[in-house]
Amino acid sequence: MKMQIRSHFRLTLFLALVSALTALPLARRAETRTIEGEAWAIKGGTVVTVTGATIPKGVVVIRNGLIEAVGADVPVPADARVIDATGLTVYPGLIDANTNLGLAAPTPAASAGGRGGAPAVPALALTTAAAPAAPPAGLSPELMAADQLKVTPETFDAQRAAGITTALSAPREGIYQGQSVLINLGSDAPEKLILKSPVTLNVAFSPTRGGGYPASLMGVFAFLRQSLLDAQWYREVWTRYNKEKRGLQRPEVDKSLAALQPVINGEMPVMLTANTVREIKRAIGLAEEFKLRYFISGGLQSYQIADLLKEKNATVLLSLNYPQRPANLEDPESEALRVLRDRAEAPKAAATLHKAGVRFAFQSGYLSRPSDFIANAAKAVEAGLPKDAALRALTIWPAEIFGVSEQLGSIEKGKIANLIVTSGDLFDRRTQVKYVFIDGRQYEVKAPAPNGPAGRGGGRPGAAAAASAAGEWAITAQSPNGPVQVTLSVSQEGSAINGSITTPFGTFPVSGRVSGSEVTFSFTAKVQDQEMPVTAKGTIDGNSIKGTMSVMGQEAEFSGTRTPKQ
Amino acid sequence: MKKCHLVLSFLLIAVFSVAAYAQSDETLIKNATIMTASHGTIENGSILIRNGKIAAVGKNSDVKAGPNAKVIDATGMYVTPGLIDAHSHSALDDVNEMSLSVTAMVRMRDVVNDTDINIYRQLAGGTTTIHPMHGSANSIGGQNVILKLKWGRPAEEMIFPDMPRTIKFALGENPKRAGNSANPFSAPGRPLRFPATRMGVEFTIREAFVQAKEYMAKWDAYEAAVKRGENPLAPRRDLKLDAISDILRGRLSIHAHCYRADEILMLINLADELGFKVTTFQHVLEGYKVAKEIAAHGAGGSTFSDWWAYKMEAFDAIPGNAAIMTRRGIITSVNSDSADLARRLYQEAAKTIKYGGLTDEEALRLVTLNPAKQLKIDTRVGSIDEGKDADLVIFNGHPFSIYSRPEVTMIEGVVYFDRREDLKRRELIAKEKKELIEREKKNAGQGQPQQPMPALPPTLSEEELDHGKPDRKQQ
Repeated sequence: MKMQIRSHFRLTLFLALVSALTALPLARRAETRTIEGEAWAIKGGTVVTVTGATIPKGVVVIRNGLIEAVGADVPVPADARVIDATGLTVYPGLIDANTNLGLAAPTPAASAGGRGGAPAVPALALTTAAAPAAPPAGLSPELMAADQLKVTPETFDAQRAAGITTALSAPREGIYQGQSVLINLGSDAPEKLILKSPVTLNVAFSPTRGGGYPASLMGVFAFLRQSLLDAQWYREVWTRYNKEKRGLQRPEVDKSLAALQPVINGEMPVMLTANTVREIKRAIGLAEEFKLRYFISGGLQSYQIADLLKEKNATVLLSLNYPQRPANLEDPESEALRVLRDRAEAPKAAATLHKAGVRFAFQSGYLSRPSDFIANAAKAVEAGLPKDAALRALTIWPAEIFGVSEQLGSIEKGKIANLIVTSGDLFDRRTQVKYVFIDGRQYEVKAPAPNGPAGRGGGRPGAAAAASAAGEWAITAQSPNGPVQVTLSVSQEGSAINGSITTPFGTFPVSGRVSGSEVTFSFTAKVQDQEMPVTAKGTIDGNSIKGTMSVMGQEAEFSGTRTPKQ
Repeated sequence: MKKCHLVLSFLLIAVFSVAAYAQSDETLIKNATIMTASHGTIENGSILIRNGKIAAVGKNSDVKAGPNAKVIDATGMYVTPGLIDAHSHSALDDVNEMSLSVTAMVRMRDVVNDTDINIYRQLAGGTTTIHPMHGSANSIGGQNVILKLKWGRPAEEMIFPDMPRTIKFALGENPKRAGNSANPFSAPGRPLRFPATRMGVEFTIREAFVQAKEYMAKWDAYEAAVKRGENPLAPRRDLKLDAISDILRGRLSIHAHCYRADEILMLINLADELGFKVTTFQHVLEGYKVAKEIAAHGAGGSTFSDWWAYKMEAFDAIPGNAAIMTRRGIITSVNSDSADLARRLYQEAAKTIKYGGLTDEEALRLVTLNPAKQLKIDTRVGSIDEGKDADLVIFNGHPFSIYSRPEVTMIEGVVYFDRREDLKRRELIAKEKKELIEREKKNAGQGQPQQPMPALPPTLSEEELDHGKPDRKQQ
């Protein structure tokens, strides 16, 4: 007995020590958020509140990260820093309803293995008695996106420059991709950016890579069904045990099946990735079979079944990553009419959903240039979506869908001060974002990198993350015989780059492609009448490039910078 | 006043729908040569279609239609039942779940691709019902689907009404490939999978059935306890064992991919031992060697007309196989196993006349009534008989002449392919395509090329697996 008390005491002491130690950095971090009592007044601009009337010459007062007051005749507090927004427009910060922003790079999918040494039971990581220590990526509903956040001050520069201040984020790999997190796109520590976690369990119907089960689309459905049945069984087993523990063997704990409990109980919605009509119908079929609350994510062809979606009371997180013509299409005639129609109809989808009364919000659909998010929303407006609805689909509707409309989505007293100030109408091509506030803190709107991807009409800041290789690059390659200076001069069309490279041995035509920030190119150098094929692979970061060239089995590191345009 | 309006509009709707009903209600195909597949050929015959069903079939003089019937004059033409393909991989988004040796839990009905252009192409070849199957990568594969090729309709409407359930089994080379590192199909990085031999295939099937029996016993015990008024915990549902239990209960029919006589006998013996039935042996290229045993088991045989020697286990195939099996009393069909051959099933059937001396009707049955029996859908389709679905093909000549082609294909009385309409529509499609391409060109440069998801590692198509003809463009 005495022993117990003593150990208890020791534990308390230990906890006190821990909290004393951790309190220190916590307090310091809190300071970086907003200066205590920091206040702003945005004055004289057109205030588009979204939920209320638009105020032609209004004042928005921000204090302690919240909207303190909004109106036409609101006095400017004496301690507020004032932004003269005369001629400008104030909007609530925009919300991107599905992204993988701020998440650490995915871990490569491991193989679930078949029968060779693996359990004889189908390799359902969720259900096998002897589950492998680490289930393959994408089969773990317990994964929390909130735990994966990695944010630097620059991470969300491009989003902020495009006016996006909030995003739902989850990994995009696998079947059970993980539980999403709603974050403000600031530069604070992740735990300060989180608005809500978890929000949804994200599910995609994409077979596992690497040979493990499920490796096919029908396997994915069987896997999902089995895991949901297992979750129901798990619920039953534990309910029975919890009712009367005495005399019952304790059931095993399974974190995957435990994580599915709020899903099968209808507390947490699943976000189902589905684009074609048949994908959407299959997704709804599965959700109905297990009585899941669901959102459809993507929804490319959702407009074709708008009435059905309305009847089902479905919610669509509509992707603004419209399908594009493949960059290197040899024969344009080779594409099926259906594919061409999909591309032509995509911008009309939102208008059709709206007309049918389907609840929806916009998501960027992993668009690499955040500026295209608004540009493509503008295309939806051109295709018939009322401007007001488009704005709501970027603000209050996603806030409602994610259950945060008390905090976000409009300019109202007491809501989080996520605001953007633009030079004009949000859906006008020439409009630029002038000021961005997130949690009441002003963020610099970073201008697009020179030679960077063209923003909308050149005016809107582009994304630093979206690589453009176009331009002239001064590159130094570290050959075994010492540094070699070359000049790479290329133009870019889609993901394809073409141009020439000037070396000490002459100038040769070069071609290659860009994918994300990765660039690959190749050329054949002719040295003393001998042809030497050279391939290069590098990474573009703004105006610098580095990577490896490989010549006849020899590798050479290279690095260089883009020459500013005269 | 408002009420009056309402009543009036109801009346109008009623009147119009009755009119529409009367117009489309009856169709009469007359002056045709009708190959019924069940009761011979009728010259100068008529078929009356009402509500999607065959209301009457017989001589012109014996079949009377109402005054509003739509009349198709088929003078000089032949009418056959809609053709049925007992082995297909068309209209699917995926074919093989390669990862495991027993994948009885996967269902092809989950992955029907109702936009697959092969549906339309096969309609143009007179095919109206197909049996899209799971691939042959596993000893026990997935559950198949039976579709009516209602092009333009959503998948759920294509799925055969009250669809009998079937499941794929596979014997021989294909299911053991994934266990053999030396075979050219094992993709690098893909883990090896049991089994690697024919003995292993047999063991895998036996093991699955033994597990299923244990599983059934658990459920029986549970249900007995419930009956006694106890409140037991239900056993864990296992979708794989659910399916295999359903085989044992006779609710799920086996369609077993096979080639060699020895493996056919193996499965028959295994079936007798474990208490299940094989409904149809698929491919069954050596069926002629063990026709007596297959007939005694009561199984059907669905074979190729004349494909052989594309792999070791196909070397002993003979083009007389279908005819020999037919003569030995096996319900026999010829199938396509290919999106291409599925457009010419009538020619596949015709070959058995040349090689095996079957009669016209026997040959026609190979692609109509017999596959319908193998799929257990012959009460609805497979022949031109009163009461059956009006799934019909109108050929411009004898269907077994290579100069003939289908002019019209209908399912349940609805025309889904009409050659004349098709020719007209081509122009419209070309025009729309051109306009869309032009418009895109004009708008080019406004967007950016999408970054697609990284492609999945190539999975083997069923044709690759089966016929060693790598063509990655095929499914």
